[in-house]
Amino acid sequence: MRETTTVDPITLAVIAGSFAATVDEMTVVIERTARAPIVAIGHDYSNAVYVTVGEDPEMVVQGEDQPCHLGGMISSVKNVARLYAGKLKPGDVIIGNHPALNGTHLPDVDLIQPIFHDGKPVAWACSRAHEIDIGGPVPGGYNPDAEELYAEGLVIPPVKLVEEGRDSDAVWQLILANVRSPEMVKGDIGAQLSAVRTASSRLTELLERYGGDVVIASARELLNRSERLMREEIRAMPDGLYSGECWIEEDGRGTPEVRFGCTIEVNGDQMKVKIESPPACKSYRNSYWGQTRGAVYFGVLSGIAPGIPINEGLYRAITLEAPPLGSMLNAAYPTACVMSTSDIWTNVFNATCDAMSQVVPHRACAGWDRMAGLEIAGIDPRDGQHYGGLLHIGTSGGAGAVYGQDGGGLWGVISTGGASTVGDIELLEFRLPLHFHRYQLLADSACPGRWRGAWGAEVEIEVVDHDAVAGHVGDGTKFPAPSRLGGGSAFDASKRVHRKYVIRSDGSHEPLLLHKSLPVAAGERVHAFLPGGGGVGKAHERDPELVRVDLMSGLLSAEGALADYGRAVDEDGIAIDWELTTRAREPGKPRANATVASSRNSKRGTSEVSQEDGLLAKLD
Amino acid sequence: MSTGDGALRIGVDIGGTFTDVVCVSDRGGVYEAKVPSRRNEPELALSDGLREVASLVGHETIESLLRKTDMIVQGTTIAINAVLQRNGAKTALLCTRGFRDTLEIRLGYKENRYDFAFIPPQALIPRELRIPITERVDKRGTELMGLDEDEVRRAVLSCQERGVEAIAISFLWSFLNEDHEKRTEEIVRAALPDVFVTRSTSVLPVMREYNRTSTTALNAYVGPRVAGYVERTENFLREMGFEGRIRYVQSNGGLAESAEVQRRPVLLLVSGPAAAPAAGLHFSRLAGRNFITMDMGGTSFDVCLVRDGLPDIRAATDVDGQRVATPLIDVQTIGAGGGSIAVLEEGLLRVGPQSAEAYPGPAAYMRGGTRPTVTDANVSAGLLNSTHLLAGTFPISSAAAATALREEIADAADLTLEDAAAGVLEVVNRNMADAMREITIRRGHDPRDYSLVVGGGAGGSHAAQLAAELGIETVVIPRIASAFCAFGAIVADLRHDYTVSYMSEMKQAEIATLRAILERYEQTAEKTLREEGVSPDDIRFLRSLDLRYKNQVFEVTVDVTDVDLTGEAGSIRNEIESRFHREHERLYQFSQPGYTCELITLRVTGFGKNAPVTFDATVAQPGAEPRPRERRLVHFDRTVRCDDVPVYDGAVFSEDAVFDGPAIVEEPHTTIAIPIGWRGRFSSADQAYVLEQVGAAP
Repeated sequence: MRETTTVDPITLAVIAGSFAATVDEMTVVIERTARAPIVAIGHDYSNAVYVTVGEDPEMVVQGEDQPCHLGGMISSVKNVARLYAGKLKPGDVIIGNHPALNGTHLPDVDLIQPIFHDGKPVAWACSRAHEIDIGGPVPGGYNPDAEELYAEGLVIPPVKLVEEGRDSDAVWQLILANVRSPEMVKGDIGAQLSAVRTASSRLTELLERYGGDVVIASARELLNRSERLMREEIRAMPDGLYSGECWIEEDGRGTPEVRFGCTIEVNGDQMKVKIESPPACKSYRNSYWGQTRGAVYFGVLSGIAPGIPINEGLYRAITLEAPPLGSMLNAAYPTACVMSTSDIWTNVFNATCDAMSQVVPHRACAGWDRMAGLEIAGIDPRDGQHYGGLLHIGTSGGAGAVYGQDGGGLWGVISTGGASTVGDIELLEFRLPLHFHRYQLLADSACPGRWRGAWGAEVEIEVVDHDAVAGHVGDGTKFPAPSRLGGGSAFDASKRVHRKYVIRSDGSHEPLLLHKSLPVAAGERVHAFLPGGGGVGKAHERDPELVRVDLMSGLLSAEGALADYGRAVDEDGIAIDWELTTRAREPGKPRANATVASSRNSKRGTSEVSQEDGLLAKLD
Repeated sequence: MSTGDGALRIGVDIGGTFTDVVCVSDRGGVYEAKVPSRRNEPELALSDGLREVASLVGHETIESLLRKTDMIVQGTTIAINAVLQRNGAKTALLCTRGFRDTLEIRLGYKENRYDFAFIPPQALIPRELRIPITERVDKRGTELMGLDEDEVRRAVLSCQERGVEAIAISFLWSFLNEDHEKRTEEIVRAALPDVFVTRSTSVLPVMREYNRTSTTALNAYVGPRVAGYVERTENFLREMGFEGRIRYVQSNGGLAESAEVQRRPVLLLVSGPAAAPAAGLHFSRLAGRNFITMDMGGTSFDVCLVRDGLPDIRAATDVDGQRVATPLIDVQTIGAGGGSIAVLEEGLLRVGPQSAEAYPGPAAYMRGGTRPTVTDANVSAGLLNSTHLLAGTFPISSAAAATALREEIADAADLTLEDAAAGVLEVVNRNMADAMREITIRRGHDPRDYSLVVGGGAGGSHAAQLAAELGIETVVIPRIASAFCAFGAIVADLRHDYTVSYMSEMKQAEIATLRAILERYEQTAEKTLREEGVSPDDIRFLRSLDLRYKNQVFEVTVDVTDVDLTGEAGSIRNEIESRFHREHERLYQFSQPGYTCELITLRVTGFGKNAPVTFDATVAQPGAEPRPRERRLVHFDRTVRCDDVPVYDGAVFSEDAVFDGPAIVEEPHTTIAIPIGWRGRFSSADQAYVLEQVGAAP
């Protein structure tokens, strides 16, 4: 649909600013009022504003929130607008978590409010948050035994939670009767409700002030503008066909390690992205297309100059080819899917990113730590209340390097984009019947490279005065975060994958395997090793001064410096011994970097090369 | 004016580009000087400014000026510059073993989502200087593991070898049991008497180790620099024969003297802009007790909110990526000022945050600047004088302003010059209005309940439009606007904040204990204020509590100053809880009465009242009727263009001088735009203009 109304640069700037300020304000409301730790500390929520510029609402601003909500929130509002065409009234708020319609997994619940002007829904606000519980057999909803969606919790098809400004008691009761911690869920949905209402009043003001035509024309121009900028970016990329991949380990329910593929065809100012998927599996590891799509978009964005306004216009230049409906990455209702925002999302991103790093090597972006979540659950002996869920502090490893710089920090899984915080130790100890014995960065945990990944960490948690259960979900105990352009290493690969143990009262370490849970008695501990991110570029090309700085910090061992970077170290272990280094690098001598495997293939990346291989280069 | 001007007070605001010095006499004279700041030698700017002011007041030397002076107050950038330029002290951190990387992990948070190449701020203390010490206290304050004193001694040796200048000590849960931190401090001090030592429990004894450790690290990092500066300037002033009080503007907007500043130098982190609310309060006869202050200079725009006479305070904020959790004025700063550059970016007009600063400055300044700025837009729109600024002493070129706007904006966007100019103003005003929304609507305040007090040389031509944007009906523009914070430093009260942890469900809180803790900190505050020369009658206290719903992560601060804590405990608890629910409702549009509330933090603030300043109203010429000096064409915005707008010279009016919009008043240091629908009035007693909305804008 083409319109001729044009908007001058000034009005456009003013209205763009208003959209952004609206989303900002929604975020503040959630940030300050959310109750559950996954929302309040984990920042597991997103807000966005939409305008119906043609037939469907299009996202004009997404907040600085969770990347894993990016794709689903686009389809969610469109589907609600279609489903409720002609049936919406001012003051209505729709709630829903239906994977096929809202593009979510069940714990993520959307609240969507249409904003009316001249009797029509013109603008839309959507707030998505991860509820602490959504019913079903497993607290929190991450049920490894789920063979279909019904075993993951309550499915809420898009229904009116608020009708013309009045809360629907029936819907509230139906939801709250099905969830654990109903007070907390009520508080968090209440926070979302405040957020969409705030957006509604801001956007109503905007529409009244500038009129529907100008606001819609501005939204259209903002979308067009992002599209133009995106097309310029793509035009600057060399035409061609590029393919990437990423492997994900076994799901613990009979599905072997499988490959996600991504083929990108760059042609002029247009990009075609094809996703290859394994068949659907009988476990929680599937993804509806709304989710998968977001991971592909984010992967493409990794190769784009930062600063382009993030809105739906960006994606017009990208044609997606989905795998067949009913496959793992394009799941059909009622397939189970709770991992779709985490390990699947991360690996679809990685596969796309792998292809993008060939399209634009100067923006190559290594993988962040994979998602291997730690959950501890039990009854808090202080008040008899159930506690549990994902502990970010036992989950978040290091970020990947990007071309030109090391990985930035302990930012966790890329699907959260670093939005999730781990929380203060004191805050965690105060809230939970747990005691922390250590939480600090972990030496040699980052994948090396000309630019290395960010360091991972280790955390040791004691269960206090009660018996608890520790669980381990996701992916990342087998393959390290993927490196790019020859980064990565075979040396001591075990530090670059997730490992979790229960330290028993006799001091023994019992491995807490992926997809398993173990009882942890009072006084026993969980010890989690969280790996760092992937590296970019060949390790032996790293600036020796940076190697020295890493040695000084104690996070790179002398052995690591030699094995990964080919730098021999003096007796104190903090300075590079140039003479030894030169000898180590002489032709004919075993080269320290000789075993640095290409890790473009993320499966055969590094960890399967034996540790001995990595130490071959050690000097005699 | 002559030296018979009576006792003087001097306020100094050392900014990034300029240092403002304001001097007021107890007979109401006001003198204002502006000198260039000296980036690495701020004390030189102080003496330059004093020399300049001395000559304005009629003294031949700084010494003779200082003999007449009772008080010198400084807002200083010494602490913030140490952080921004990363040239603070070489600092070590002694922390609980196993938790060495708190400052580097930064809670695992990345500031933005879509910038894949984002570089996080570096920790002020590198890992090799973060030294773990074996010790542990649990969440009840019980010692689980004793302090390994030998390790502390070894750490001390290692610090000594590495030339460490400052040491921060921060252990887990130390605010519940400070023995280990205290003992560590003793050992360190005994061994290294010349090193700046600070422990978290004397800086910020509250829960959340990231906030506490980062604030303590900052305290150590800026400590030696602040101490050195304080020592040098005080020696300089004393050598010049100054016998009055020397005070500093703290981040909380109140003043303190050297003893307190050297104890907790982190309190000076946002020293300068924090004086704005105090400046605003001076004009409360015109602006009331609820107002917003704005300060628009060349590069940045700062806004603060004052509610019922008290500035809004933030419990924690990040300064250049470093977390500070001692109370700070809630200053919202954006890159918007007279020098902000306008750029056309793919069909969208962006203004700021890049600034042409003072050099090369706006195109109109003819110092080589060619990019169009906000000042150029003001000149082209007719809001500013087209040939001169600063009372005719600073020539400018409207042709240069027009050329810049035309070449970079108007031609490319197919706009007239006037629309381009008005458009730049519209966009920068929108950005500034957003910053004002940030401290009002986003904090649960309705801007329409507030007036606006304007500081900064560039503010006067934007203020009425900004006010209209937010529904504010009263705008106050003091003549001293261009040195707003230096003036605020003179009139601010002394202020000391104490924050202490007290964690309990509200229903179980022991009111007697609470009262005892609050009273203990009030005594500390009183002692400090007395030492700073405040008489007991001028001391008052505020008490507040931070509460939250159980399991909520953020707290809400509730004022309990007027709650009598000697009564029956049950009803006191109920009163506190109901205040919390009300405040929560106000802030977030919902509350959950009946849900368990937790008390987390107690706060005490002690104020020492400063003597008020009275302006000399006779500066104005009594009875003089305002007569326009000229009339010109003004584009107030893209739709409102007025021919023949009268332009007045400032400060030659009687008390009753009234200007019906549209009108322009050109003061020496600021220009005031009065749009259609507004009426301006000059108050000679307050030396300020009041603009009021009298009708709907056309």
